[in-house]
Amino acid sequence: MDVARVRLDDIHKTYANGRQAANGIDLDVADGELMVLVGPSGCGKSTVLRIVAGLETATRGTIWIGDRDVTDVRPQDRDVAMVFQQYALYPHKSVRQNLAFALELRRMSRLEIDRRVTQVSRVLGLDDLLDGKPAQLSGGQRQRVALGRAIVREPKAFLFDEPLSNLDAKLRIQTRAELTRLHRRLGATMIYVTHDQEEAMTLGDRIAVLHEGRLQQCAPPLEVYRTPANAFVAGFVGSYAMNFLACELAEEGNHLRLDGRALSLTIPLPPATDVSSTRHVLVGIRPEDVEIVDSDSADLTGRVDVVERLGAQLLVHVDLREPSRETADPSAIDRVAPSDFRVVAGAEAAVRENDSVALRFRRNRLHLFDPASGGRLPVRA
Amino acid sequence: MRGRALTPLIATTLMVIVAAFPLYWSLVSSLTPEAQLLEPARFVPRTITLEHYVRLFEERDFWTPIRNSLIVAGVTTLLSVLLGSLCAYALARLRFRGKTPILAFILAVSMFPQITIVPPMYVLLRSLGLINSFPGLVLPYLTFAMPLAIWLLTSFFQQLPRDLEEAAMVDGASRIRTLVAIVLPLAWPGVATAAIITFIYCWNEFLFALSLTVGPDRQTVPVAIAMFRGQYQVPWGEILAATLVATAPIALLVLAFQRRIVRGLTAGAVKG
Repeated sequence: MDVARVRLDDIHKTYANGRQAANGIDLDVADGELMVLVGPSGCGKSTVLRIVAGLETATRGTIWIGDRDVTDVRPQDRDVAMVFQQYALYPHKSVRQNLAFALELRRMSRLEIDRRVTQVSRVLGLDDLLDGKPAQLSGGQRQRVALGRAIVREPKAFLFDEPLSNLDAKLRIQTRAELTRLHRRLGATMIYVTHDQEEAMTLGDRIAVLHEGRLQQCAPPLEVYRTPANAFVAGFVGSYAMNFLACELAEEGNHLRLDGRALSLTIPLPPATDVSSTRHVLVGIRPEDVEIVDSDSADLTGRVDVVERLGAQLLVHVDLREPSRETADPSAIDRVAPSDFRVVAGAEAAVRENDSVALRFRRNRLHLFDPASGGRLPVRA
Repeated sequence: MRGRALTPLIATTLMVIVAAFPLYWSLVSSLTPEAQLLEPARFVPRTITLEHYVRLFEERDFWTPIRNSLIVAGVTTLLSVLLGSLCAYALARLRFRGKTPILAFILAVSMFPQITIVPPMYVLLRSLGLINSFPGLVLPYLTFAMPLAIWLLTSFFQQLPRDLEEAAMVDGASRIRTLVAIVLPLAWPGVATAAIITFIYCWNEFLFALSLTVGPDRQTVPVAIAMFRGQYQVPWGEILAATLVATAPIALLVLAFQRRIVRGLTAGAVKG
């Protein structure tokens, strides 16, 4: 396969109505890498993908596929394949014709077309469906045909635009694993767009988190999970949204004093945290990094509001607003303590709604963010 | 259940009677001997005769106007659907300045009362030497047929999912290829509707055909029928026979394609 590194250099996209979908995006997808673009809807991820495909033109910036500057190249000449969210199968063509269309456009010999179509349909289990029309297929089957239509071309790069979002949950997870296998097998460059952080985490070699047209962080999934670059990424990535506590922070010996309007607690200094003497911070802690403990070793306590039983785990929503804890200090950060502090506990944990619960943070899993910029505060490794 | 189904049934029956009665009346009259035509009306004819039809084709050579109409309406339809598809696709999909003004202009053009166009058209065609010729009818017909086709087709094309065209382009198809291989086959009900409606307009057109033809060898069906009137008598039997003969192809066309037309006219109304 050709060297198919895909590079975006300072991509801007402003629509005619003034909406900025991309605002200076740099991205470097290595040859054979599966890069996932993830972010909430409207973050610009689909726009970026469509710019790579050539279906949209960037207002500014350069796109490279391999060694070629394709910024002004028409989509049909870019040699990328795209799998659409709605599959976009040609409804008047049979499955076979759908698969063969791109090859026919390349004036490939009948023999070669047949060979490739046969091979791909065997890999994807489409053998028996080749003569049917897309309307006769189930959602999952259409999905496979859409995949097949991309694979059969052996393109420089694959582009996926939320391909799993129309499948039911079970099929989605099955297809997700299949995509991983497929990527391993083909070793092709893939750019995959999704709004589902779980999909991003499981599929990507690296994931690029986008928000409001800007790249927030681009790193391997675990790195994004463990050291999110800012509060947005921290809140977006992870099965359960991270908890944030607005605090005033002071260094006291080897302790950090965290003072919020409705809570006041002292916690040991996270390893090698570099903070100036006093400042406002946003403390982030993932629900899975909070333990339910006896009250004497607790970092804070609260009232259990709702318990969601997820089977293997409990998701406990804790209300931290407690009148008795309310400090009268008006200079404290003007934020109330969270009424919905989430904690993941084992399924056997004895928590009941309206009970008081004592919580303890895993010390090495605390994240500190600048409340103004949202940026991660430097932590020395 | 029954009571509810009855009301629409009665309404439908009434409508069919209202719509079909003139046609039935023409049919009965065209089969009634000339002598009985002006007698008090009867719903069921006393005697049936084919004399009007025989005279229509043997004495009046009605084949010539039919041939003329077929040529003029057929060529106009073909051209306006072919050229109209290209225009409509551009208007539906490409991004360029002044799209809305262009669509408005196309609509405006077709709004001119025909009678205001006839004199300048006549002068123009005379200087081109096209009076009393097929091109001399097809070209003026395009002035109303093209806007019609473009407007119908533009809305059909706009209703097609964009994904499919984008998929085709990423697959390596050019714009034209996308239009031919993907858009047109999918917009086929719409294209057929546009073609049939255009054909019917051309088939029924009277004023241009009357003004721009001279003799019977280029007259279309409506003009030919109008010319049946003699100075002293109106051959009602033959006129009605001719009317039926002229209506038949249109009726057959619509019957043959009615499902497509309905689908075309309501395209996008309900998610397919």
